[in-house]
Amino acid sequence: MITDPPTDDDEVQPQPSRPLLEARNVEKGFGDGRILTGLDLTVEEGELLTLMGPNGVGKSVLLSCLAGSTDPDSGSIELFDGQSPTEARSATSVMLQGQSIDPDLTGRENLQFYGDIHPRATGDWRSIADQLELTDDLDRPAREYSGGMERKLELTIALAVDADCYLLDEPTAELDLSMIQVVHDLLLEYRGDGKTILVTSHAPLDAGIADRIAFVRGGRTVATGEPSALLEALPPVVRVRGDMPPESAFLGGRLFQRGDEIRGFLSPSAGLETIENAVEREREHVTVDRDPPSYTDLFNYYTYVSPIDADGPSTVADESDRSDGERTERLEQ
Amino acid sequence: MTQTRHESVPWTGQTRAFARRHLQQLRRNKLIVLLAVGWPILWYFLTMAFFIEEPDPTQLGYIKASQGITFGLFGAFTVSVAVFAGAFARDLESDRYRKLRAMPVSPTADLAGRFAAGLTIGAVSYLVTILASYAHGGTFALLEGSVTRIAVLVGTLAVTLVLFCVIAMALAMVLALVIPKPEHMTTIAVIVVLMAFYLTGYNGTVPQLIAEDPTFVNYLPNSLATRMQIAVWAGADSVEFMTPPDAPLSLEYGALLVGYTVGLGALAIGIVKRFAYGGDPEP
Repeated sequence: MITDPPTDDDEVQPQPSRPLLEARNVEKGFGDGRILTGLDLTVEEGELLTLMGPNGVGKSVLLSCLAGSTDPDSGSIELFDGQSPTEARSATSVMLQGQSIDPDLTGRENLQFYGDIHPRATGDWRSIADQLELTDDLDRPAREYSGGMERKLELTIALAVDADCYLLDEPTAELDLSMIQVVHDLLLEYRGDGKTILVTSHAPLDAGIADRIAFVRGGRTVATGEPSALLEALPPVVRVRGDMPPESAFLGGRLFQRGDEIRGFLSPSAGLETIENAVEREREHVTVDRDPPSYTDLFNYYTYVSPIDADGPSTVADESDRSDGERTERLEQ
Repeated sequence: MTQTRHESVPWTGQTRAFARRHLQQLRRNKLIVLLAVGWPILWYFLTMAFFIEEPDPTQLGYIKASQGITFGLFGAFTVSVAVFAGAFARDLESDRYRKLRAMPVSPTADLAGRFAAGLTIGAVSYLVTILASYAHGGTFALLEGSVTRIAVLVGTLAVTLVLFCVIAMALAMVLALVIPKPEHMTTIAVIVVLMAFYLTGYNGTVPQLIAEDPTFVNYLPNSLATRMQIAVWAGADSVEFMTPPDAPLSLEYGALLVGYTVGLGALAIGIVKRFAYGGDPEP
């Protein structure tokens, strides 16, 4: 059979991403304290978005609002093309840190209870508990669990639901490094199955699995973007070894210690020589150099250094979306 | 991924899940088991040994039966309040409702499951005490009637017991809201029940203890239910010891008990919807 040659119209176009969750200008406070102050967030269908920020910044409160557990004071939240969080509860699964587990029940009884009250619960908890090395402890009362074991049980409960969207509050908190890797693998497996996942975290390690990262500061998102794009957009990172330079020499007046080195960001108005002049270069073993940014630098920058833009979050586009000219200009800067 | 099991929220399944969860919690709580079984039986024998003067031998069986019923309901009331208030206060305090609100859970299924669990342990407490009284020589007149009469009376007793436990549990929810201290709830519940017991003249079984007009014992839920049960068990002609006022056997008193149940049940639904599933707790 002879077919017509393909035309431009026949070319497969990349599917535009579709927002599965949209939060607009969300505000929430308790008493006199304002926690969320006009937060905007979009989670695309099928993506894994990591919401990052230090403790107490409002990540858990936002997750409660998105899950339908807490009503925002103002703003709008929509999931699945116009559903409210309460209407979408059957299609979402939420892990709220430290608030699910009943200490008077065993791990297995907790799993059974939450499985029995969610209409989309599955039998996947067995394999998830196996992967998280929790199976041998399932018949112990949950009050005997360590913090890490509680996190694993909460995560098992949340992931044992065949939801379209998972809202997970710090699932890697209190876990050791090898178990964090297992959790990352699990989340990537779910993302590979087309699930949409929103993870909150204050651990830079969790940035590595994200399709996009959103940083929360002062009750709002201050930056969103793909990890590589956010890393590219960071000011140059300076590493100092062998001396303690003055904080004022760095962007935002902030320094960060990592092991035996001091790290900070280069101010746009200053060059590397500014830092070199500020340390005792004559001292033995003192080095000042630029270093490629890490996820910890990324976290530190958006958490402690970057100014909060009153007009809203900065969205950092992927490098592929930029023109060569823009990219060169920025790199030169 | 495994296929989904349900596509809609199963109300009865949720009710079962909540009931099972509470019974699993109670199974491990030795204090509650002791309260359910040991506490009312202990009071029964203490009362028979130290508080009952030498009675007319023809009345002894009825007095033992009335004390069995009194402390059976006393036990049911105690565990209903202690269990219900403790479990509800614990869930509120630990903010477990934050997770439950994020799930497609029916508040009335939660409440019904809790009621079912509380009623189960309340009924166990009641029946164990009645059995102890029966074994001790209590005379339960209804056991001597025809099968039809026994069926009607047992039905009446079951319904009044259920109503009594529902009233106790609804009051327990108010208690849990007012005093959100789950660690002290068992002690507080026992004190509240003892106060209700003594202030109504042993749940209305010894109205002579009340200095003023004791008519109110036919109108307060704990004494009304207890007096109604004793009259049904023993027969209206055998309860002179707890009159005046007359035994509450008319339909009006039954309607009053149902009214208490409906009113307090509605209050319980309002509490669970407002404070558990409509709450907005601080982080």
